[in-house]
Amino acid sequence: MTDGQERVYCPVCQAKFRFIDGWREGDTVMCPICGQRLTLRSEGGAWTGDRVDAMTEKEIRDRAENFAKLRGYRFTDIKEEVIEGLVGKQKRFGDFYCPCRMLHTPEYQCPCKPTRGGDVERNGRCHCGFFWGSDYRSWIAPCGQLSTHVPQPVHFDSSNAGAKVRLSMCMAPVGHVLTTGQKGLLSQTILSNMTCIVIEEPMAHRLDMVLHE
Amino acid sequence: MIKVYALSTCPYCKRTKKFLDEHKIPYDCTDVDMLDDDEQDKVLEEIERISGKRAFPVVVIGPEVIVGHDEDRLRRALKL
Repeated sequence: MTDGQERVYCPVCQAKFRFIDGWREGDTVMCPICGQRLTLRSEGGAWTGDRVDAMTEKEIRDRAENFAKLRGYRFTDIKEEVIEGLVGKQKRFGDFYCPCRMLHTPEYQCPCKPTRGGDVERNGRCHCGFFWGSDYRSWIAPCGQLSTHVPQPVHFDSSNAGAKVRLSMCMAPVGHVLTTGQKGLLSQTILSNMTCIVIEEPMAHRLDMVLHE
Repeated sequence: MIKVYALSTCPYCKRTKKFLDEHKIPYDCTDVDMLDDDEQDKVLEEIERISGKRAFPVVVIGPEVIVGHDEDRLRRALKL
């Protein structure tokens, strides 16, 4: 340790975080990286954390809630379905791996390493869409579109009109109220800050209306 | 026959299967994560070949390949 600080090993994110003065063996603390609750244990002169409520649905719910609070993220509208998938991963593959990936290695435990490393900041959401940036709001358009792949953002300006891209997830200004025509398309008042709009092909004929609002 | 490639734990795959079930559309589904390693490799290569990526679900309806849960495209491809 270069800074002389003691550290605690988190078995979920496999990283070490700073030991706070006053902590004692048996205390329950939260990993500030992944949000996992841990019981402190001293082992061979080093601190490690044992997972609280290990391998239970409560564990992954608590971890996800803590992680979202730590990062200021919000959850998908289909949060319960993702949690069901995470619980399925634990039952079938031994731990809470990302439900939308084939990879069952520690770095893909939820929140997965790419998510801990900034995927939400880069893409507005994590790979499976469980966590969303606070500046973004996801919804399912009335037609039921819901894309699983991370979309490439298209900037919200009129130069994109006519682009042959598809619309399934959008981001627009806080308090932005959709016009009558747009309501048929998206049906919700947009709550998040305007940053970008992601457009997909089936809605291309509506693009002018959206972009010229 | 419509072919679906899915992951057993993926919420979007479940939505696609539910959509097909609700519309009484027969389909053959492979949960790729439940295959043994050798079979899984073969199927993943096939998915990458037809869709250009390894993302789920993949629905093959004749010449059309739909990646991700997209009810609008499913409706159009199935003429619902």
